[in-house]
Amino acid sequence: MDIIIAGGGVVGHTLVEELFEEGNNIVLIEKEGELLDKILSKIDIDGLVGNAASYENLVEAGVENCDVFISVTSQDEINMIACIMAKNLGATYTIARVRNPEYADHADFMRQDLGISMMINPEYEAAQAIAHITQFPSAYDVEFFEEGRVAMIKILVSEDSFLKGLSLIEFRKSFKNILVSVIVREGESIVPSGDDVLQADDLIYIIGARPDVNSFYIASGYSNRPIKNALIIGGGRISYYLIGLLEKLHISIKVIEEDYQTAYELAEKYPNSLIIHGDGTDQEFLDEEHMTSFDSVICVRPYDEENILTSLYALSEGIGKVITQVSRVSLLRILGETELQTVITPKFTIADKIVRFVRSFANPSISDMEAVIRIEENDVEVLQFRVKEGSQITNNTIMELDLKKHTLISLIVRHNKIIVPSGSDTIQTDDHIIIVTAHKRFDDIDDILEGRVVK
Amino acid sequence: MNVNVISTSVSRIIGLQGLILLLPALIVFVSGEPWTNSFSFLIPALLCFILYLLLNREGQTKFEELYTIEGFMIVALTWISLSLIGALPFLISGNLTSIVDALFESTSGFTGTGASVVPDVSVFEPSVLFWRSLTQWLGGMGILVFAVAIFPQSNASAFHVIQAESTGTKLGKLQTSVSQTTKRLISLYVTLTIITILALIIGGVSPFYSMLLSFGTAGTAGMNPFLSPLLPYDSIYVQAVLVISMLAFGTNFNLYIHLLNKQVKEVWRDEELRWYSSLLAVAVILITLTLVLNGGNFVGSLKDSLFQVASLSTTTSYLTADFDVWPIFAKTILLILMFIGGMSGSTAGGLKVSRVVLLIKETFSEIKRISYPHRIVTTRYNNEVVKDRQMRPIINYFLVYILIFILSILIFSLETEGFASAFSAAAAALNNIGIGFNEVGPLGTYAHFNAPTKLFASFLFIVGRLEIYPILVLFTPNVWRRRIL
Repeated sequence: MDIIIAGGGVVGHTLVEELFEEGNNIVLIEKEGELLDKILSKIDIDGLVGNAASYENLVEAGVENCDVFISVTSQDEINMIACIMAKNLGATYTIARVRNPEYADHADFMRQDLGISMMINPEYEAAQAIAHITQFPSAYDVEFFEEGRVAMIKILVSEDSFLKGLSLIEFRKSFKNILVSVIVREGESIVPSGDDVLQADDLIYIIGARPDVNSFYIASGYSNRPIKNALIIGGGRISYYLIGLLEKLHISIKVIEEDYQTAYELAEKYPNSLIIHGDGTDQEFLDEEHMTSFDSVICVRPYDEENILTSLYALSEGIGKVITQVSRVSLLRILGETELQTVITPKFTIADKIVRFVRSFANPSISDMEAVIRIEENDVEVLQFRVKEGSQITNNTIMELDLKKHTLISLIVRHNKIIVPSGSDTIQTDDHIIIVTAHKRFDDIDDILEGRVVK
Repeated sequence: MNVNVISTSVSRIIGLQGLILLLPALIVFVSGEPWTNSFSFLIPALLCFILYLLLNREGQTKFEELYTIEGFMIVALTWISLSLIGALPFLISGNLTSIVDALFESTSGFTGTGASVVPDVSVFEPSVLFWRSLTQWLGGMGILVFAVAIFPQSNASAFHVIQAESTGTKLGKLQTSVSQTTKRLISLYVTLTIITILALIIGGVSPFYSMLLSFGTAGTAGMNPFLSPLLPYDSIYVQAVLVISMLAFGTNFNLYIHLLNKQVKEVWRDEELRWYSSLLAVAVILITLTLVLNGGNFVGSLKDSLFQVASLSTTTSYLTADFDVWPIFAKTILLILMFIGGMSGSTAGGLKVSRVVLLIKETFSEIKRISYPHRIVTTRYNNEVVKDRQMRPIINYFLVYILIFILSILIFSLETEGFASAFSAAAAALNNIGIGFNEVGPLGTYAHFNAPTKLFASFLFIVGRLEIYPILVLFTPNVWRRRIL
């Protein structure tokens, strides 16, 4: 597929990497020559130095034949203009990063009249991911499907857990409505089969209907005490959205922000939350603001190192839930696997969304892909499809299907009913199914069958 | 300073006053007074027209050069000249012989105070009595136009408590032009007055007194046109009409404009309206209870407390009961209401509800700021954050207000017997109420004061009416010396 990406910043760079790996032809437009050279030296794509909203540059980049045009420069207005121009010059789909909610509020108008197929807001997506995690405080990660009715959570099998030593067949016997989808053991992700046995220190992904996941969560001794208050360190754009989302979940909030003006604007927007002006990296200051009496600490300052250090400090003080925003995940490798509980990387959240778009909407005749979530640094993909008429997987029971290795049919949503499948179930047309796979680049449900070649 | 602008603007208002002076001249003929009485009004009218011609410099005036300071000068000089010329009919008619008394009555009318130095209104011919009441109505209209239409759109922050409650520029709101707003305000004001007059006539009040009462209500002044200090109407209907009308004129006129624009939500959500109505409700309940506990019957006490609360809180001061004999608790509540006054953007005087609410909220914010020094604490009003630069003028206003008030007590104390009299005389004058306790109470007047005190009271009326700053600016020497530094 031919994709043009405008803007080689953090998100642009990630997109280039990911979409290139997905096997697309990419042209990157970036106004800084040096930055472009740096990316080109690492990845084998075409590049163009210049303004993304210029007619000449767009034509030069081959916009009339491109399938997807993605504009992720730092300016909303440029992104929108570039998308409108690209659409009119012949791009099939356009995606714009729009951070200002005043523009993003009218998605229908933007799509129908201006031809912007999708607007993405990395900070909002990150805030939403954090808000989801607060729903399962002991989980390391939380993903929702089907508008929040299906949950997938990542939890730790501790030394004294009764889960330790349980084989997955036994696990299924005790918990009928949920499924272990992935096991992460010593840094390696396994899409498990029935014979696998849970060990201490495994991180496991559990999927199921939200109430079932919830009751499992409580039954297996994980703290179900909901998060009642949160200390947010950093008052940037993520916090701006996060405060609103958390207030809706009735979580009381204290925000620490260093810049007075930013803090003041937050106070203006959210009168019911406490906004503190001060240095969130200063440990004495954190103590003065009673950090230790909070249920959760969320570090979303712009600097990874400070977020990591503050999070480690919060953990050492015994905070139950610590969420850390980290942009450069390579930094995490110097820490142990379970050192930080929950890490949020906005560029990945966004990349997931765009990858899904590119894989599904961009070739709707092949499949109906409804969600793509990549976990464990992209080792494992969780995909949601709607099964179409004539799909080969509807022919047999799941047991008889010849699935590729490391691929698991985790969940079926049939007429709003959530089914955790067993071998004797058959997939029907119009089912929504969620699969977990260690393979990459599936864009059709039949790709899960052995012998089918992925393009 | 642009003298031409000031002179032309004031000349227009004086010209307008000349035209309006023809109205009581008409009354002379309607009421069957000797026709020579009309000279009491025609001579001042002529003077107005001459002054208009002398002062009007329309040709050389650049109205673009009307800045805050010119605006202040215009209001200050407007009220001073209105009061001076308005005193002439009292003198020319011979109804009043003292210049100071005439000035006092005129100023009291134009500033919507309603205090009087004449214990016996039978000295006035009907036409003069009409003029005396009409001044209140004109003063009320003037303050509305200045405070709601003209000033909020200029930078003169002293005239609207905060931007949020004026019709001034607001993010995402289409702004109406000054002339448009002025027209709407005047027609609203006239309509409400006519409705009050008609409602009173229906209640059996004679048309002449209906007009006089309505003028006093509209200007929230409450000059008593009757011989008795209390209103001679026992009818619940008449009292109810007056209560509703007084409250209507004590309400922010921007709210009526919102209503006309069908913005009901904005009225419903208006914070000042909510505070004001709760304040009045609490005051009525407390005073009624106090009166009942002191042996009053329930219906009578409720009626009296409702009327007196409406009258004093809107700074009107029509009375149906002698509250001086009420228990001190009830009197103190009335005194508090006198200081708070009506809503901003109305014809009422006092500190204004919105100012008081903001001051109280800011106090709580400040307590929080002191206890948690790092916390960002904002004061919100009408769901919007009040910025420091908006709050500062309000706090400063309060300080100046208190200073002037203390000074006024001192001056009144020269001629009053008890502290209550001096205190309430100062409060009644500065808040444009006109009635206090004891000597200046329901049964008293300002008649027994000596000339200097009467003049000081008149001055204080204007200071209070124009919310202090314009008068302070007028007496700032540098303003006159045309200094640029």
